[in-house]
Amino acid sequence: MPLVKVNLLSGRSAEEKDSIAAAIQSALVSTLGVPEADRYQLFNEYDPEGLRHTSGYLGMTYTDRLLMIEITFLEGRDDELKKALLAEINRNLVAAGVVGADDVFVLITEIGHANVSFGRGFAQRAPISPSVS
Amino acid sequence: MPLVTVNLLKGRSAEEKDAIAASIQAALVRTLDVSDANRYQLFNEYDGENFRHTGGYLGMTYSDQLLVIEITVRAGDDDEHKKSLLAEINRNLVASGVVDADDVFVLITEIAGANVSFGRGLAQRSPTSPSAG
Repeated sequence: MPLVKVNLLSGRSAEEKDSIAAAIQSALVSTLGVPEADRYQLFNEYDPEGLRHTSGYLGMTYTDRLLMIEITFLEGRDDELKKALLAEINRNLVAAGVVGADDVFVLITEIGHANVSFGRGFAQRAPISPSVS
Repeated sequence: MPLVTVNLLKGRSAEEKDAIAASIQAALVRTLDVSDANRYQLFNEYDGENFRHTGGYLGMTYSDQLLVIEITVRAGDDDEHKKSLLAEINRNLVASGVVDADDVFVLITEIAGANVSFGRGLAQRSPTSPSAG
């Protein structure tokens, strides 16, 4: 279910994108317990004219390698899990050698359990309606 | 106000995109009672390298025809309405012949009424300020 969008400057190789995709998925699996098969990732590549950001904020210094990552998943995880996810994404990306630690901006959006269909029009994660007794 | 983003692999014809757009809008009109003029749709077309997903999850099998559909609506619809919307989008898309039932991933994000402007800088859907007296 996590839907992951990676916004970045054009110019990364397919191998770098493989590494970025794997680093993020691995963090989702290890911190949120997402199954490996639960993987939906979109890479949005921008020209410099189309990707604009501060060169630094809150002590971070950003370069042309900045990744702006958006992740949407079901609500219900506590702050500790979300903090662990943010830390692990950064750790994995830096370990993969694709980016410096400052250059990873991540934003999480949480949605309700009836707000997703994985196919066939079913709301697979919706609460079961109470049966009439 | 529903803002609809359809993420898909490149290669669909304009006619197919017309059918996809019409299928989704018809579902919004029928299940959420959105007016037909309330239509805002974006198609993001990807190369294979930038459109990455599992081959299958939760019993679904995905092909190159997969549509990753994001819909942002105003909060307030109950789970039954959202489930009806998910089912109707799938039904319409399959009926129009553009995609199989498994290849429709949909994600709904809900925002507050004051979080949207349709133009002129007005927050047309925000709760009316209580009048004095």
